[in-house]
Amino acid sequence: MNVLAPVRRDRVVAALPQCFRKEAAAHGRPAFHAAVAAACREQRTGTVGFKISKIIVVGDLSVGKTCLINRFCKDTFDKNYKATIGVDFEMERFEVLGVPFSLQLWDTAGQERFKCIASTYYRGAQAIVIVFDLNDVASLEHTRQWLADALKENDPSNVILFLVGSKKDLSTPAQYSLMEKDALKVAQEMQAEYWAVSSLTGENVRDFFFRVAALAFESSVLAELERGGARRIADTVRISSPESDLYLTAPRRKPKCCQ
Amino acid sequence: MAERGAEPLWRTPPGRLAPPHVYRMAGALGAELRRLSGRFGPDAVAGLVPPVVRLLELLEALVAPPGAEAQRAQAERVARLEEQNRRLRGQLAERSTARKEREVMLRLKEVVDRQRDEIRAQAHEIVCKSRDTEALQEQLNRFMSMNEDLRHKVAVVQAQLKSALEQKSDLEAVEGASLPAEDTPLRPGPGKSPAHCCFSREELQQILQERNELKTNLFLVQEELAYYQRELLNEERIPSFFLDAMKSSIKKQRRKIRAKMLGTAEESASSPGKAPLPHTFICSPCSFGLWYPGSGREAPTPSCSGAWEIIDSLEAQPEQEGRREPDGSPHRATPPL
Repeated sequence: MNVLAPVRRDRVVAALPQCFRKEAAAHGRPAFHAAVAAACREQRTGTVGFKISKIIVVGDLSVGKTCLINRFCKDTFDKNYKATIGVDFEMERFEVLGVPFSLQLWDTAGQERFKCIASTYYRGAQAIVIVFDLNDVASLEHTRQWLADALKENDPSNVILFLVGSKKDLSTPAQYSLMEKDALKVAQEMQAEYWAVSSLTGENVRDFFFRVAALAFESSVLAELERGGARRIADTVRISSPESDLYLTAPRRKPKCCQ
Repeated sequence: MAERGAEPLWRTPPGRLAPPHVYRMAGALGAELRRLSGRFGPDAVAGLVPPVVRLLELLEALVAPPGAEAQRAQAERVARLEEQNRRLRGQLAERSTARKEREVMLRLKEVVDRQRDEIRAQAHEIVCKSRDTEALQEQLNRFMSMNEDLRHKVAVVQAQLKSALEQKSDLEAVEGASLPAEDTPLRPGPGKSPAHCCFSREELQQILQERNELKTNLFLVQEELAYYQRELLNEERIPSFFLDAMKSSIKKQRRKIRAKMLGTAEESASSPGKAPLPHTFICSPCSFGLWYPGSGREAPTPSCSGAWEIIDSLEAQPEQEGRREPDGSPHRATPPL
């Protein structure tokens, strides 16, 4: 009954994908946390589970949230604008460090009138992806509000934040570098990791979601270890890594911009 | 004459003395004795003759060349030995061919024995293999029927999804004016003209919830189908009792994953599409809290301890594999049309 290679080969994450800009990254470590890597090594011997992380994607209307998800999950791009009603989700299965891991990507409506419905789906997110249009400064300004709304339903110390500029293909290098400066500032303020993507060309889309998957996975394992809920993992890990190390990264700094 | 011959004869050194010398001496002595008996009568020498004869005999024996007799004896022996040798060689040759024959026989017997054993083993193997084949055939049939079942399920779910998506696009076409009126109840009443139909927020939420459930179902069924398909390809035999156990475990896990994906409590997930959304999403205290970090901390139950659930390994093994699938097979919810 032994089965290998569970996931599509192009969804296997063997090493921590790198951040987009060092100035605004979730963390600067070049590789997975030692405790996580060790836990995964140990896990191979028996403990298995079906792991799902909830990722919510928020942002102004028509910045390209749905397109971003469709580019990654279905590798398609539809130029026609179609508003998302309420919410939608896609499942994306990964294998990170040999452990099966799924992202449930929740695509929310950007329209104000759907906000009340969409926001009921914010709870329990492990990562919040805030999307703005790289060609629309207002949409960048609004990301603060989106973050505040999303954090109302979530524990700010437990979520990973991503600030994603979309439609990179539409901006000239000069415009882009101007926008990036502002975006980096916002990202640093909210302690989010900054990315710039294009769903039309696919630029950085795959790298971005791989980074999301890897970081969500890492933080999940760390949370698991910290909680000590899964003793099997925790026990084996503590042998090899100093316990203090486990807690170093776990208590997250609070973002300055909200509350 | 006796005098002439006697001189050198009698002076022959003992080393060179040979039988002819002795004979000649005997002749000389005989002549002398005859002369004496002629002169003094035969009685005079009668006492002398036997000892002289005896002496001469002894002398002859002593003088005779030493090897003559022995050589003869030796030659005889050699001849005998050669004869014997020849005989023995003949025997040996006979015997060695016999032995060779026996060896060949033994080897042949060995070969025959081995082949007999091999044939027996192979016959046994054939029996085993045919039994295996039968079992596999049986399993294949079982899998095929299961596969058909699953295909059917997928088709049903897909149809449901399609209709849900149609509803959604209908809704989209209409939603323009209707939504801002947040909690107003259903407006159109029995008029039923879709163009004038409006939906309340609650209805919209219900539709979304239904869509999410269908998508979740589709995902689960697709995963399950992929699992069985791969099992079929895997050629590994699964005893039927184990398969049954696995099926029930998959069912159990499906409920859990469903609940996780929908963010609902596990029990309510067993009646798809019927759980009232405001209840499950807003009122239920354990909706997301069980599965996601942050809110889960107040109620750390062992079965749902973190951002994800680590399902009991014994239970999870088949389920885990159920989530895996062959390359390239669809593994996401069907894209909205």
